Amino acid sequence: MKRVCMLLWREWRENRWFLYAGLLLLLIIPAVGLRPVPLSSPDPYAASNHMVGVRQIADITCAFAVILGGLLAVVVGVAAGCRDMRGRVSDFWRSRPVTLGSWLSARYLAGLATVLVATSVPLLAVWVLLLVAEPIMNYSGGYACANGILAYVVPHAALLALIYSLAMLLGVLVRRPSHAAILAIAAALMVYFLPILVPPLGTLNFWNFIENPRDTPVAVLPVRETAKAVLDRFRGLTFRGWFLGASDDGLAFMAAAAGLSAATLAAMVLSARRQWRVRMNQKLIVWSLGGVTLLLFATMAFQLRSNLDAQLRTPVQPPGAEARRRVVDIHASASRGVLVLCDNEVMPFQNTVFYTAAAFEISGDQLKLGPEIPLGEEEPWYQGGRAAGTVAWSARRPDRLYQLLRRYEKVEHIDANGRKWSAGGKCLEMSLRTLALDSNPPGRVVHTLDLMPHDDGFHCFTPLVLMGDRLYVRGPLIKGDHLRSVRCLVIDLADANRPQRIATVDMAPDAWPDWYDLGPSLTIPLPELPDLSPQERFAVMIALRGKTDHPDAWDGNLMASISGDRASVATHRVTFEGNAVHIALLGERRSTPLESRVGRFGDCSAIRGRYFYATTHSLSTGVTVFDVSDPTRPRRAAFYAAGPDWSMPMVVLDDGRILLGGNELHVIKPVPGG
Amino acid sequence: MWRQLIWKEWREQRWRLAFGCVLFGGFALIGLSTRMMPDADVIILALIFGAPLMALLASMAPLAGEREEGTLPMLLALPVAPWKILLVKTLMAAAVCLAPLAAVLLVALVVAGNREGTTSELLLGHGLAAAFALMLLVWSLALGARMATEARAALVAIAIVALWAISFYVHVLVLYPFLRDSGNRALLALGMVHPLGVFYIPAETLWAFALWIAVHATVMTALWFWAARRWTRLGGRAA
Repeated sequence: MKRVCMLLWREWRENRWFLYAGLLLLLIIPAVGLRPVPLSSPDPYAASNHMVGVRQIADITCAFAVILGGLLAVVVGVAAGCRDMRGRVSDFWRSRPVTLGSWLSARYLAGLATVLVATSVPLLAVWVLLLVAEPIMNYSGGYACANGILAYVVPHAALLALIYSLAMLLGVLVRRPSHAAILAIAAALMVYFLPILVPPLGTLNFWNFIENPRDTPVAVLPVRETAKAVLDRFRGLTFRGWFLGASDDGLAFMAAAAGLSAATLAAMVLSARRQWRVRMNQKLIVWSLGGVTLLLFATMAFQLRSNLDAQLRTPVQPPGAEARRRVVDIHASASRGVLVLCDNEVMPFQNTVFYTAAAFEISGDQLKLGPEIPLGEEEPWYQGGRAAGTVAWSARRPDRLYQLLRRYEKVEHIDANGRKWSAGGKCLEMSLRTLALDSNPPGRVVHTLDLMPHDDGFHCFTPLVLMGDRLYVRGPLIKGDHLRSVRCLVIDLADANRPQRIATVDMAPDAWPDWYDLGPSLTIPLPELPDLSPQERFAVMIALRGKTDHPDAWDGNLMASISGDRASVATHRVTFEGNAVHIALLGERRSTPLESRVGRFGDCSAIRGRYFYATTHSLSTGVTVFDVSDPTRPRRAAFYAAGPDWSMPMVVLDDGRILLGGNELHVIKPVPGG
Repeated sequence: MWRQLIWKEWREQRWRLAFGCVLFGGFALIGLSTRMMPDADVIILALIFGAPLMALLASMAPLAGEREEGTLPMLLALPVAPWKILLVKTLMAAAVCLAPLAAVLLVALVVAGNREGTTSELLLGHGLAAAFALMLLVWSLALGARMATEARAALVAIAIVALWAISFYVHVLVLYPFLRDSGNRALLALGMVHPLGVFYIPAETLWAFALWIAVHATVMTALWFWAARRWTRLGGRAA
């Protein structure tokens, strides 16, 4: 025991500077951001503003711990592995009355304790700080929140133990610090990133714990209730919550990491006992690193590869336009339709844009564009103002374009918790314009229909859907601070030049669920839209949802949806029971760790035959196609890379071709074999 | 004697050339074939990492490697002028720098020629990367001519890249508003003094390109001759 203590004392003397450096980086430097905080304020948002210092400390400490913790483990591990392992010093130690196992174990444990204390103590300190501060702050979330830290502090320690073990093994094998450090960094990168690239290794994917799974909103409390809230939070933590991040993934991860660390430790003792040594030279190191890099990149590339080709890919500049345009919406049937365009240099939804429209026809590899039709200006929705970019077109009336014009003011409400929320804008004016595409010049206003309801409270976020001979406009009806109903206006187009509002359908708010994730099954009432079968009413409902960032699709047979976190695709069976529709989950396909790391599904989707199409924002935005011929097992079938872009509208034609908007217009060939 | 010198350098450096071609050519091939990201991104990544990395690898070995291995006195004892030895080393190091970039260009032309970008854009990008690699090589050789080990020579190259990057950032912050908007030729000419100034030339200013080439070709030549005077020193005394 005395010998072990002496060995540990000696290792402490060697490692203490690493500990001091780690604590300095992770504890002292972030504390520089701490600012004086007033602990009470009548305005709950003032308190959150003054707590910026705490937020800054948490962000910096957590980022340093995750990024620099691995580096510290490498440095300490290599130092522990190389120190006293060469030449006469090694012989000296081996001649001492201590076994090799106890000598290496003491060294291993001392270094491991250094790494874990240097990284975990700052994290736990920040955790306590956030436990106290979060009830006062108006925001909690991300990996730098109390719940987030608790989710990964222990798995992070297990990860660092694994990296430290690998670094020490490499130090013992190579016996040259610089070479061992390079190899240890490569090994650490493999530990961090290989589980993302290779799905079967997903158990070892540490980044799962960095995600924001526990974004539990914390109510803003007056200070006198803060102490009670803090104590309640402590009491509420179970044993698993304290030590394992309250997740089964944490158990599996730590078991795997512990097993690998133990195997590495055994290999290290064996190699030291048998004097195994790997003689590295520059050539071997360089080729090894290069090979690992290429292997990782190839693994990543073949998971994310693009295997669809474009029949046509062209910038859009209508005749007479002074610059290229951005395609923000597409209405198409066969090879013709209408494009909604805006200035390519301006980002909609964040800036005021001027929308235009242009008729188009695709002939072979050529795009023919008609003259531009001015639609009007649109301000960002959160500012209030005008909205002019919503149009509808169909092949049944190819020479008519229907435009929804609105003017609205921004309205904010305060809920019971004192939080502000906005239902968009309260309509001040709303009308439907009928534009002629066959006039000279095109875009002559043929008819204007006033759509303002007689009672106020109609709020915007109004999608416009044209189906058959009817137009449907939907929006929430809010009076005071409450959502009273969801209103749907039905407009008849029997006379294409004189649309008429024929019905106003009000539904209870829960009759039109704003679901993001459908769950295993769901039964909802259908809107009472006149002259439509249940299937047709459901189709209208899905189409209207698709216009408000809920990318579901239904082809009359199978329904497919994208989850709220935009990371998975699900298929559903739809059955109709009287005036209700029952939606039951059939199958789901979650993004692999790599896919979810590099991107998410977008806002547009469509289903045609055996394929479900979803726009994707990834390293390269584009379209992902899923084969849903077996609805219980959707599988990724194809991907088209459109290049750097964002918010791309998509339409799938009946022949399988895909029209994709954005900076250019892409006409993508059908999926092979489809 | 030239042939023997070339043969010696080729034997010593060929693995670096092969490594660069395999790594960066493979990267470009995989990235452009799978199209997981835009073609321009793949090529830019290959060039951004390839140019400095190959210049670093190529500059480590010629002079510092000889010192570290202890073969420098024997090399200098050969009946050939030291500047010829340095010239052969420099040319072989340049080949090590440029061959991987050429591999990337070849792959890009074959796999992605005129797909998302034009051939002239590809050639321009590769030309700039090659120029950057050669500049870094010559600067590293000159400043690291007396380094005793390859690791130290590599640190010299890394320090040069870091200094260029930081100074270019400051250069951009200070001069950019004037460069872009004023059209002031004197200011634009001043910007060409920086090794990375070429990346900030406004379009259609061919004279600025020519000035940048002339300035840095002159600087590189001067540095090379300076290195030729210095590299033969053995542990504090001239050979």
